[in-house]
Amino acid sequence: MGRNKIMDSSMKKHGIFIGAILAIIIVLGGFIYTQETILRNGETTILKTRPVDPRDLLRGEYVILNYAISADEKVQKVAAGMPNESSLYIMLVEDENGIGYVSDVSTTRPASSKNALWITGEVSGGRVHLPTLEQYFVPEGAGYPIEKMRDDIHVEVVVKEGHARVKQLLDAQLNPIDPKSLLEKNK
Amino acid sequence: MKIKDIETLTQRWLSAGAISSEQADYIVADAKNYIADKSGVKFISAIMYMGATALSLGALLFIASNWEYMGDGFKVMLSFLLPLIPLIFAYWHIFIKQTDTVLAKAAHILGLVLVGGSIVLIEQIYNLQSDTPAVLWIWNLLTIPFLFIFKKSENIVFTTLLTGSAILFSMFDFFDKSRVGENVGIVLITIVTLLYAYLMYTIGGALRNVSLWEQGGRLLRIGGGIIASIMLFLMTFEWYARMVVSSHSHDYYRNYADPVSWQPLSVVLNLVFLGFLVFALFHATKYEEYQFAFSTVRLFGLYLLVKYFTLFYGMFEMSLFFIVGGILFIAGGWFLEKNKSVLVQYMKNNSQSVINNGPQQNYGQ
Repeated sequence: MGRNKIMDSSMKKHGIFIGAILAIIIVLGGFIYTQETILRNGETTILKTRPVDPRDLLRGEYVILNYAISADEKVQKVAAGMPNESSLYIMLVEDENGIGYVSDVSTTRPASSKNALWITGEVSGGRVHLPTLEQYFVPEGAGYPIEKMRDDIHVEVVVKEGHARVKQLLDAQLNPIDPKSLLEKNK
Repeated sequence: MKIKDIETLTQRWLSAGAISSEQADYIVADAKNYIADKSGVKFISAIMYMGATALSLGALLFIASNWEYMGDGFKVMLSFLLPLIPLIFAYWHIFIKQTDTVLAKAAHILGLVLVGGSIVLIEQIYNLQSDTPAVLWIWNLLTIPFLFIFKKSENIVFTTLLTGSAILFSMFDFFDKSRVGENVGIVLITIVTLLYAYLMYTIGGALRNVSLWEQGGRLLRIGGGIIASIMLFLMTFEWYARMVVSSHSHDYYRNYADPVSWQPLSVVLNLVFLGFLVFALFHATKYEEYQFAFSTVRLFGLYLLVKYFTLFYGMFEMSLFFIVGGILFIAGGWFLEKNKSVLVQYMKNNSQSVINNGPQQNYGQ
């Protein structure tokens, strides 16, 4: 009887431990799955940007990306009257090089359509932010060379139903930038 | 207790004829072994925990610095394995092999730290902006089950720190987004901190008689007491009362400067602090937390010192200031010494009643 009780308690403990480990796997896996779904199934577009202020924090080095679409006149006009943390929807249209420009701005979520390309922005202090696009992590030491490229940087982003993720950095000729090569050039 | 104290006590018992010289030798020798073992384990534990912290920081920094050189699949796999390997290692050691080594304890703390590290790493892989309060809450929720699995004091300390940080960062985030004034924010933070300290003390009190959680409960009670005393001490300063009265007023500067508006509150806050010290002293002696009891007496001394400098500096001439200060400090020292003797006497009486009534009287309170 006593032995059975010990066995039961031990099995219960194993069960809780396996449950706790599974919870970690499910939460981390779910987080990764959400990001991968956007990156794999989204539409790709290119946005003009200007990297500023490389930061060196515990998480590593990253560049902050300021997007031309955030500074667009139409976007700023709509954002100026909106409360903090409200969402704003930026409709994009691509030119012949595939670079996205603002075609329209809305405060209501656009209807899902295969041809529509739109990004959700967040209003803070009367300005529009694109929280999932504004930082790009680079190897230590590569932040400054990227910042020096200033107006010659574009970012290839993947967009799915308003959710956008950075895919890669592109140069003025829209060729991919490999941050590792910048690092080696500056050695 | 120091070995010198044990030697003095055994000599006293020997002279009183309570023990034989063999028993005295045995007690001293055994105490020496026990203290040596205990300090050895403490030192090894401290080294192991420092190692666990350095290792987790090092692993995260290494990955952060070299992430560009790793494939995406490898990075994703790392983010899973980082916390799971040490947690499974610790569980296997403690519950399957039944060897509760310091290495296993360090591994379990390392695993708990790396759960947060993995969340941050995934954010970095996908270039996402870190939402600190959300990260802290998710980290907390994912590590709480291990508190009930490992049932170690270290888990209680870890969860308490993580929950406290999550609450604090959520408040900062809320103040930032809702543009709450700085002084309103500080007042709210002090209130929430005091509530958190009270919660820690209450949970610690509830765990007093639960054998598995006894040590963790004690840490919670003392932690709650320390947090509350520091916070209440900070609230006795004049700037705090000024800030409270001006925080909800339209005429901020007038209220901030007007003594009539902030002085009554300052007096109340000082009385609350003194009342708390009495309460803490009473409870610390009741539950034989003598170190904490002496700390409250020391805090009272510090309070007197600070009040003398902050309240009287502008009132007297320099020479008079030091003369009065000198007299006050000597009187204060005498008062503290006298209080210490009263406290020691009270503890002696308390221990005597425990001996007379049996030890269960003391635990059941």
